[in-house]
Amino acid sequence: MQSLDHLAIERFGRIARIDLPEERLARIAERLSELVAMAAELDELPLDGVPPAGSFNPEWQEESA
Amino acid sequence: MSAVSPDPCDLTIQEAARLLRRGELSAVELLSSVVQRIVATEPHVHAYVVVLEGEARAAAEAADAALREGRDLGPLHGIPVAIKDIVDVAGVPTRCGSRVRQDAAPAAKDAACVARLRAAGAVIVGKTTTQEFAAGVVSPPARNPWDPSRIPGGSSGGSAVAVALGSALAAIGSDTGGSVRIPAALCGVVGLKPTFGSIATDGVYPLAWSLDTVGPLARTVADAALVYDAIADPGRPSARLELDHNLDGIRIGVPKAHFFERVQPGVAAAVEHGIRCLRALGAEIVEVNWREAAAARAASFVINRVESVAVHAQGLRSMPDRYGDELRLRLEAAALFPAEGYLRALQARTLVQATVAGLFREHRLDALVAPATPGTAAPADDLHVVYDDGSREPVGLAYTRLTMPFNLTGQPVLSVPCGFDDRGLPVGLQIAGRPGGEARVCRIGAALEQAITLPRPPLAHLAMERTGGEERP
Repeated sequence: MQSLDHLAIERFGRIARIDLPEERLARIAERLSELVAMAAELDELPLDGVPPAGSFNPEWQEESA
Repeated sequence: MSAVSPDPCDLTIQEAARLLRRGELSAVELLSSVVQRIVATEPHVHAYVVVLEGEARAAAEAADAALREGRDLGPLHGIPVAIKDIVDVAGVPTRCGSRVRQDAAPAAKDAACVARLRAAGAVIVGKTTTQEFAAGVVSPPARNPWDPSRIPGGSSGGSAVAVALGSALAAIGSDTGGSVRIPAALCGVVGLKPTFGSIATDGVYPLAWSLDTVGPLARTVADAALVYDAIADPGRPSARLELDHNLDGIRIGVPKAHFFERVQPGVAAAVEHGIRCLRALGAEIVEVNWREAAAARAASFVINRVESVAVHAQGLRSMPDRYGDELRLRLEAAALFPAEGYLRALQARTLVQATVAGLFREHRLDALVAPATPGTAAPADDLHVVYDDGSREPVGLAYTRLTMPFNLTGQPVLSVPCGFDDRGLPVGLQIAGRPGGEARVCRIGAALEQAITLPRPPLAHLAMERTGGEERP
């Protein structure tokens, strides 16, 4: 995966109100790319119209019976 | 097994409880044996961050006095238990393995699970080493009891090490992405990640609210079930309900896709042997295809990362330098992740829960079984899992690959030792049941444990020989 550019990382950092020192940007970009790659695995799921689940659904037991 | 008789600290909880009630062992003697084992092994493994010897001795004396007076608080009465250092123990700072909390004040009160352990008569021995804020799988400086040049797994690494060596008879850990099951597998002990929400997390430092669980580690399934019963919320069914049942009529699914891909051959062989044992014990084994397993892991990973940055947002702004480099990087990256990605992971949770429920319904399953981790304990100086094709995977990604799907689904999962790889390192098999089905996964795990007898770690033998292997009373 192409690495995220450092300018974008810095801008995102300002929005998140965290100070991201220049010397850390490359490694942060690498970690963010890893997270984005993981999230991309969800693209294969049919999620349109699916409601989000904020936590585990305890009704699972009944549904699986 | 060693030729010498086990020290009291090598007894199971059930064995020790029996001797305590017969008057053939006292809680003070049991604690003394545990403390001796701690002294003998800690220089090699660093399982504890603090040993509460004075407080524990007072509690053991009180436990003995209570038994003499006919007051029996149950199976954990007088049993030494260790607590992961993200869980509050009254009067002791909860430092979470982090410089961020180096000046933390002593906890004002016990976490809910610790209070329940004390109410059940347990003796709190000390607090165990954790990866910083429970976010990782290495647990430095703790080391593996089977080979101290290797890691114990994490984040409840110290808890698993203490239990494996007899430095506690049971321990409390937490599991948000595999942090009970991974060290249990790598250290050759039993670990139970209970159904999400079945044990109160009050007084436990959060990692990711919608995934966090508290769970026991012990040397046998029955012992883990005993501890679960003591700390579970009121009204939860006992995990011991089916321990005496055989596996006739039990249907177990084996999800080959995702869970058996990119696994070390020694792990695959031990787990497949375990599955053959389950079949021989009467279980019906069916191959199933959980197509969404990889996506379940991905969604669990995203939720874990984003929720943990919410927990640490303030600390990241005010004292970033106090975080360890690894955790700081992880938090900084997650802080930049788009909200829509988090929302999609929550949508995926809805879908994945429905698909795994459908899998259980369609195949009439009691449980799924799979390797707990794709590799055994990695060397502490090379934090990668290496596969037979020569490829390498960082431990943080490798060890959570097979555990995280079940944090998303919330179901109970038991990790049980099922053998060793060709280096003599333990392998764990995980058994995932239906929500609320702790009794069923413990039934399956207990049956497997009867079929596969495993030795104790070499360090425990060494310590036993040093103490002369006192005769059991």
